[in-house]
Amino acid sequence: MSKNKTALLMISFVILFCLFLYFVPVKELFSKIPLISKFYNNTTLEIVTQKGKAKIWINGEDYGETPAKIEDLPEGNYVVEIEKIVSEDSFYEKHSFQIELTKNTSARIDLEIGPEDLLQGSILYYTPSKVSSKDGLLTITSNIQNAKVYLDKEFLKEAPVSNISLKDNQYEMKISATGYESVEIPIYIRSGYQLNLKTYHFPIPVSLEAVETENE
Amino acid sequence: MSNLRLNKIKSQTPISIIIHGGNRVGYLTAKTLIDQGCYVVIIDKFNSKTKKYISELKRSELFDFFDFKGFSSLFKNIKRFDYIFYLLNEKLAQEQFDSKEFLAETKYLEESLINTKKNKAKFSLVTSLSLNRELANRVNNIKLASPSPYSNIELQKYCETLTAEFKDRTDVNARILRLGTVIGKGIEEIASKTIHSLVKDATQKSEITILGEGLDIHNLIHESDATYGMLKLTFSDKTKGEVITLANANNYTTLSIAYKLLELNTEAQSIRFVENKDEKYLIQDLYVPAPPASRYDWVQQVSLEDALIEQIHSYYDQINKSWDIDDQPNIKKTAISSTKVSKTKFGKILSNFFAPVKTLFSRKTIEKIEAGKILKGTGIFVLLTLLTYYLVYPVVGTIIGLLVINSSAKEVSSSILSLENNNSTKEVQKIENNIKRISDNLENLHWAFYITNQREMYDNLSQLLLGAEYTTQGAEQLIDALQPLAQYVKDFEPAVTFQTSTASSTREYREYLQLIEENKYKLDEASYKISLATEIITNLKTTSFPKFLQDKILLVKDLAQKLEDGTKTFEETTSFLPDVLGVDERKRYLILFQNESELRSTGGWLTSYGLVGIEGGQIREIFVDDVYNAEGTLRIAGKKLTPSKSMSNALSLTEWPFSLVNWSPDLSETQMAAEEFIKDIGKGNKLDGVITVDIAVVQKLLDAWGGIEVPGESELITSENIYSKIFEMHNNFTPGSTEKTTFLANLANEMVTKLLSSDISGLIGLSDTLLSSLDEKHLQVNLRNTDALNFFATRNWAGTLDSKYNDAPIAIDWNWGGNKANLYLDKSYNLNVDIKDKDTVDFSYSVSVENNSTTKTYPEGDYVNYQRIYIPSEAKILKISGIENNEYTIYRESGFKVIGGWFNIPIKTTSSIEISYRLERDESNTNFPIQIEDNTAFFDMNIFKQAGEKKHGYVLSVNYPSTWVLDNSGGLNSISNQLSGRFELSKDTNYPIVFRIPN
Repeated sequence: MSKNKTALLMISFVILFCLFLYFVPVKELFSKIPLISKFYNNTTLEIVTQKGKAKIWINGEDYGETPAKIEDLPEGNYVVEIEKIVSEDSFYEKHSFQIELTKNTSARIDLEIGPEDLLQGSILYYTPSKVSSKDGLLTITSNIQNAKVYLDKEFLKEAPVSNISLKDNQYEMKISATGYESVEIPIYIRSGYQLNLKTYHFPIPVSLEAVETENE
Repeated sequence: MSNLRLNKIKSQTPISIIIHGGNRVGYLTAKTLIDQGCYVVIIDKFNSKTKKYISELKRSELFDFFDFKGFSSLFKNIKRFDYIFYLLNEKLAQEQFDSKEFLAETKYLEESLINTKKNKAKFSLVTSLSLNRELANRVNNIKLASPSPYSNIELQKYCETLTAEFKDRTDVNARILRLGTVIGKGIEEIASKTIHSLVKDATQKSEITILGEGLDIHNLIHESDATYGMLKLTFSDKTKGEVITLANANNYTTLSIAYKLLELNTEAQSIRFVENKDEKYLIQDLYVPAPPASRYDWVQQVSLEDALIEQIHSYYDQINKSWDIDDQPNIKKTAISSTKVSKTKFGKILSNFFAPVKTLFSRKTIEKIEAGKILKGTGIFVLLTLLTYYLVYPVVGTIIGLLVINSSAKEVSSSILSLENNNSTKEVQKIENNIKRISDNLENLHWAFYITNQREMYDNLSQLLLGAEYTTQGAEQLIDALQPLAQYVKDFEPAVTFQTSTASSTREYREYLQLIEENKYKLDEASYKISLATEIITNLKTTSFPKFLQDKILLVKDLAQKLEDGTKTFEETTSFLPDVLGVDERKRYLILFQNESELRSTGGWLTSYGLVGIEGGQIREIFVDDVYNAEGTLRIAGKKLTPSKSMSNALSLTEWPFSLVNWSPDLSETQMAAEEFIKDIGKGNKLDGVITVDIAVVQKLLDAWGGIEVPGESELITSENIYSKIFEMHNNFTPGSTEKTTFLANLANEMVTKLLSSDISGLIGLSDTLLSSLDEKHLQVNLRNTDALNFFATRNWAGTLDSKYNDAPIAIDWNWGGNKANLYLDKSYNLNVDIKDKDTVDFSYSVSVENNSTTKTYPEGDYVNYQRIYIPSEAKILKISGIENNEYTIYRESGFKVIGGWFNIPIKTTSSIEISYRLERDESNTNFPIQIEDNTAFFDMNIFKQAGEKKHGYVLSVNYPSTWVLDNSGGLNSISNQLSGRFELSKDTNYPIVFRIPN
């Protein structure tokens, strides 16, 4: 009888523990515990705009102007909005980006805001890698389809590039596309993390040639 | 005291009646009830025995006493009462009754029961457990004599039976409580003669005398426990109709009680056994008592020792002897608690369940448990926790997660089709949460893959889950971003149709279109996530998965690719959709209906045209007319347009008729030209785009729908009979007649109405038809909006001749024979590309055409064709042959070098045309087809297919320097330093070839 009871107790413990793990978001709870939360919220977001300042909103909340370094945001997804500051109504649009912040990492938005929806520059952020490899991972997307990606001056492949496994190190990236300005940026690969790089490119102004219609 | 006083009691004060209550138990019961604010009436005989109790109780305002003489009048006058305690056991101390007494007692009982029923009160008949035991033993043992007719046993039996029958008959709230022998400090003489004798001997004699062997059984109870038990069992509704034993849990033999008395160091120091001549031999005590009171949460509070101590004190007091209990060794005192925390049923289950834990952690047990056991327990706990965390939960959680995902995926697919975005979002979130859960579980199971050397499978599974996680994150954003678009599709109702220009609805959808613009960043993120997911999933190593999963993995890869393509399409579409649908101002689009059987530059002979105006997402203007009517209008208005020089030279025209507006193979130029005509016709100054539709598209849609009914037509219009219908109208056509216009307008109206009234699944069903039409250039869309133009141009759907066509030649036919000879032609193309080095490329191109027409009668006939070959403007022409009479013209147009001349093919003949040219890198030439980046050479071959043209065979070969290393063949076959491909040119085709040039 006692043995049965002990067995029943053990089975019940297993079931209850399973239910606990299923329904209780343990990691989220940890991130809310004082002191421990500091570890979970150890994030940095740098926002820089070239050739002019821009106003910043994060999840709809005003965060001042560029350049800005925002620290200790809890890890998670954020909507970052930037709008170029100009003296009067202009043709510059407000731009929105989704950024994922991961604990113990930095994210960086480095952009030049052009007229209408044009952007030049890059967005960089780390997300945890779930692959057992000791290397870090690199993922690149570009707003220009089939932009060419160069790693340390060697052609890698056309964008989008995802989950390229690289050793912990600093690399020089170049993303170029015909008819668009290139983006060159140093990156740092960290093992256990996936580096997400998004690039935006201004079109290169073209000089239109006159249409000739005369016979040769 | 009077009835009057009894009836003045406040209504909220409970009233209890204790019959035969003039004794210790009755007194204690009454006292307890009074202390609780209850009004108590005792009914008994008033005599010397009852006097002391009654006198004591009478000090309270809440007490009253009645003699049995007033029994009936009490019940007649009392307005209400709540409880009756009928202490029959006290009456049963008397062994024999006369018949009068017997009947009187039963009458009192009956009357009490009747009044209990009348007052909806609760009733407890308290009888003697020892008498019931004796009755049972007599019944079970024939050697024992039956009780006499008016004995206490018979009276108890009768009263119990009466109560039980009355309960069965009337459902009165009654119970029978069989009380053990009461002992305690207030008991002057124990009701059981045997025990009375034992205690008396113990307190007064040097030895305790036991008659017989002393094995007869007694059930004892302390007076407080008896009182508490009676009250508890009477108040509880669970005891209704029950017979309950109210005594200590243990049975005691005479001998064991005697020993207990000796232990307590009373006067007696030994036990003396004396033969009992009157002993009734009992082989075995077969008595089974009624269910114990403990079943109804009564708990014995006073131990036997304590009860006996009290009882001994009482007996000593009666003989004025002292007995110092404190000097007595080995006497344990137990704290008596008058309250008890009871448990609900669920509480009991939990209590039983955790009993081992309680035992483990109770102070008492901890003292007893050895260190080894604690370690063992802790070890088991840790082991169990680890086992659950690293094995059981991951497996169970994954199974549950997969089941939830499966059911949610079905929900999502159905809710997406019915455009229920909220539901879709909820389900996708559910999927996302479960994927995360499975992913975490997989991490916990990492060890299992490690020890079984399945790390590759683990990595691929992780990647698959990561891909799935990205996909769901993307899907969630996608659904959110597309909500306004979905709502627009759901709510859209056209205001005007081709048949009527009167608006049937004023509704606009501007707010939806604005929301589509605002949600663009969400779509960008969705597209990003999904493209990541696709890349990850595409790179999965299928063979690392178990065999039964491999097919599914391939399916997932395919689905991921489709999802990415779809999302990218949506992403690009939404960047221009609001503008194209007139979010800010009205947009006007020209629709050109072309007949590809008489091939012209942009896809065929122009038969009709239409104009559609869209504003705020609503169709505000629709107009369709025959092209010759438009020309008539222009003639009447005196409007004349001059053709381009190339057209004038080729066709010897001085005026440019509207029907020849599509001279340029570039649809953007055709749009510009058409704008002038539309303005002159009086149909507006500006066009925002041009759409070309040919008969092949109409045929495909008719095939998909199984035909369509057109007003004014007696038969169903199908893909089979549409050509004959058009040929028939062409034969009968006279300028100014409206027969053809009406038919085409009605057909267009019916088709557009059918398209717009299709639900989302219907549109998805047509997507393949529309996509293949766009790919094969039977349907072309060229819009002024830059994003829209890019969207269609990058997919080769815009009919543009842009700078990417910087290598292969482009052949453009212009059927000038007035027949449908293109239906009877077979062509074959051959292109040989010779890359001399990174700066020089030679092209050799030939087209062979066979005219299979057997007669010169319409629609067949000689193929009279003005042929133009477009080559890069910097090309050096090396050879031209096959042009009629070798009379060709070379000129620059639309950024190309054009070779033009007549290339006619009479019926039943075959002719060929050949062209060779060279491209050389030049500093001024930024559009050289080979792009060099560091040591990499990119050579994008783009082969243009004329819109409306049938599928014809094409042979392509590319030779490159033998020192170059091929990185990407672009889908061509590679042998040595030659690439080759043989295909049907059904659409514009791209071959992205990459070489590495060694230093």
